[in-house]
Amino acid sequence: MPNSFTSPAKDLIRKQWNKPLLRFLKEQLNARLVYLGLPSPDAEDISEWIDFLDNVIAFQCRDYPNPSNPDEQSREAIEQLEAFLGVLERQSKLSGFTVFDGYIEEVILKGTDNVGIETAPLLEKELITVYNLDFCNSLTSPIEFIDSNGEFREGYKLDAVEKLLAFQSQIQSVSKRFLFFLTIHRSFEVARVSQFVKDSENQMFRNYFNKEINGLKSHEQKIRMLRLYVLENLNRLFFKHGFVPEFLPVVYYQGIGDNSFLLHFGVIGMNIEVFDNNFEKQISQKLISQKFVTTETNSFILAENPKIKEQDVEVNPVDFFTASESFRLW
Amino acid sequence: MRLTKFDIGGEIIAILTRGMYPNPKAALREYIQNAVDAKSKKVDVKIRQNSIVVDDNGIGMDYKVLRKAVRLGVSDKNPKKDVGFMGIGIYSAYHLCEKLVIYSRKEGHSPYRLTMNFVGMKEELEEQRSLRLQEEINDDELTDLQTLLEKHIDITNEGDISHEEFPRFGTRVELHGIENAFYDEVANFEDTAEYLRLNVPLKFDRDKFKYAELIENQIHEICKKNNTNFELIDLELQVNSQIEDLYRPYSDEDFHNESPNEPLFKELKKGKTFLGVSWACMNSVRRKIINKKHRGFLLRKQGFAVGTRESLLKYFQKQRTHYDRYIGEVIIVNPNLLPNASRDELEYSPLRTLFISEMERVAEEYDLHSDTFQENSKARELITEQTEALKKINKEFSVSKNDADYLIKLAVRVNTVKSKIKSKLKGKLLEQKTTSEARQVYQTAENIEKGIENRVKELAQIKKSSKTSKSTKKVKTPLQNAKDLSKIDTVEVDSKNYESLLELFKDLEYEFLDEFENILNLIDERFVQALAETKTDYYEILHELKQEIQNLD
Repeated sequence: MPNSFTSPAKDLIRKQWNKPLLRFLKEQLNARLVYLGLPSPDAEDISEWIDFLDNVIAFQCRDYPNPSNPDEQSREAIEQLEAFLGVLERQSKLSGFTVFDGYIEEVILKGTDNVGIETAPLLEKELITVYNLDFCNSLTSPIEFIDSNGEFREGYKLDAVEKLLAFQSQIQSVSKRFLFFLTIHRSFEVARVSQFVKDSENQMFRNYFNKEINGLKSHEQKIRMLRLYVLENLNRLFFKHGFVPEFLPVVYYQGIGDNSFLLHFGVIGMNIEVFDNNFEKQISQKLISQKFVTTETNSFILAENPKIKEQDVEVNPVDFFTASESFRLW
Repeated sequence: MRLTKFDIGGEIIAILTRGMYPNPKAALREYIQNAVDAKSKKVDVKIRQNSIVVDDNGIGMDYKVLRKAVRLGVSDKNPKKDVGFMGIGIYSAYHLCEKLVIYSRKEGHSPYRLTMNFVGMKEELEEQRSLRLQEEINDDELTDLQTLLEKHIDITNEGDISHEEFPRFGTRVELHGIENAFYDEVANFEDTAEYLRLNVPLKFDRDKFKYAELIENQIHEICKKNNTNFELIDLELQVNSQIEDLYRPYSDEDFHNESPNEPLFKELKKGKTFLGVSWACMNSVRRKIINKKHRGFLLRKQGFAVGTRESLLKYFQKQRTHYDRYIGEVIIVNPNLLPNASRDELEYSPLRTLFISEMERVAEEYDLHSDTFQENSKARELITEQTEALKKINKEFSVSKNDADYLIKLAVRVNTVKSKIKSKLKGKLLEQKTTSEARQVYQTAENIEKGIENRVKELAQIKKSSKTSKSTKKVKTPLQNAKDLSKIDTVEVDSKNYESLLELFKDLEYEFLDEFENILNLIDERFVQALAETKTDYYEILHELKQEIQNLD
């Protein structure tokens, strides 16, 4: 099992896209952040962002990409991650951490990890300020697992996202502001994306599928369909649980291997109350017709495709957010 | 006789630690105890799948102190100042984990790391045991204790560890490679929390226990007055995904009506010898404390429990009845009065004898206080009941003024009230307020009685002379009597109706085996229910029975 899925582009995103956002949020909140994510045993993201973090909640599977089978799989990866985080705790770089044993989808949907540790006591109390759901691997189909009633279940990543947001929404706090990163493979939930495209009754989406991206190459079509699918779902889930999402430009980049292309979504979530009903609940045309941001050697550039008319966007995520309407209400 | 290092085998470490720490949770207590002795104000205990950490913000240790800490059965601690002093505590996790690593930093020093490779020690001893069984080595070839410890314990030197590795002052104890049985023992948050709540010097919970602050302040005050200290710590416990600040376990909910009586404080002191202080809150009603686990008193040396809540019962003459109505603690702060090694009793010493005599005195005072409360509470209930009875009689008197026979019956009822109040007034422990109210009820009863007598005489004269005549005596009218009765403070009287004898006993917190419950139900059907003609009769019989049982106390 690889300990890391880091590629040069991913490293760049971690250091130059996400890190400034974490710095910005830490300064805005005047507090170090609580991280929830899938750091992998080497925890490169945590190492890179450690100056801004206070507490870590991590999910670590035992034997990627095989389904969990705790009786037969070694705990080595989990122990390695625990040991790594333990050192950071001793060095006073973290005040604490918790590692759940299993894939995030199964653990969150089941409510316990592979050794029976419950998620609720922590997630009902801890206000998460950075989610880094880095599904950068090729495991795009739902995880299969046995739930607490012994039933067979399929764990979809977006279902897990929904449950996480539901936990967040229950926490009593005057102001909830958080960063939400989601990285997915180009083939993410293919069946659900196709269904979404096929069934969508939203006229704007239909136009987008049938006219605007119709003439593009299959691969270019797919990533735009996937982008819309994810944006639409995240938008729905955020509003459902009382948060207004401010979507950052989507970064499209190459992971490890020739055929590994990934989309990185960044969202800044805010309590719906602060908006005083002054928000648009629907995905805007402007949002879906943004150009992708992509990486080139050591910087971010806009991905150009002459066959489609797309809008330029700011390639500095902090500048993008501070220029937004949401930031006015921050 | 001359001994050498070869006379003490390595196996002694296993024998000692297993004998002294039969409860694996005691290892947590030992490391927390060290933190308290190091003047920590805050201790974090983090229990995770593969490691346990006890982290404190105490004064930390330099090389010299760490070096002394590994000595077995020799402690550098001062029994007069410190709670731990046996010199074994650091080895308490010997059976529970593979490796103990301690990082510590003291002001003016770089951090140090002490590593105790328990698994290495255990493997070496195990191998030798096996070789001996096969007669491949003889007893002279067994590893001695000194060699074993030297081989498997390592302490870094000044400067070996950079500040970045352990940047703050204090000590961090890490247990790695946790044995499954130990993990299972501590993996349940509530169990571990309960153990720590009872066994370490935690603060009182100000959100849940209304006398928390008062008790803390009062104990501090008493200790200060006697030139001693009373130390408490903040403790955060994490067991995997559950994280909470822990406090002493007492809450208002342990008491009936969520209302403990104000705490009583007693000093355990003879002449100038101050042993410690006790506090106790009594239940607000004459019942046992709701939470069984917190009934009675717990002996603590500073904050660390000595024995269980059963241990002090023997000093209370009234035994369970009154003991179980209290939640309290006896906190020993005298540096010379020490717990024994297994922390279940005080060590034999002349001070222990003094403690026993002081404990007997204090227990007697608590018993007396409880007796007084009981007698007054019963009296107040009687006053309430009799006040209500008088109100009823007085009302009936006001509407049945012309029925002489009925008035005579009312007079008899008033007399019963008077005799009940009179007998209660004989109680020696009645408070002034209760006595005065009882007298007031008695006086009103007399007034009503006189009014009735007067009216009966009037009716007799009317009958004789067939004309009305004025009463010869000036007596209070029913209206004036009603006004007097309304001035008497009444209390809530438990008037619960029980559906069965068993229900009554359960309410009184008696516990029976299933088999006996069946017998009790049989007695109920055959004898108690047979006495009652109606359901109301049955309720009354059970109510009277309840009062009689309570009077047995």
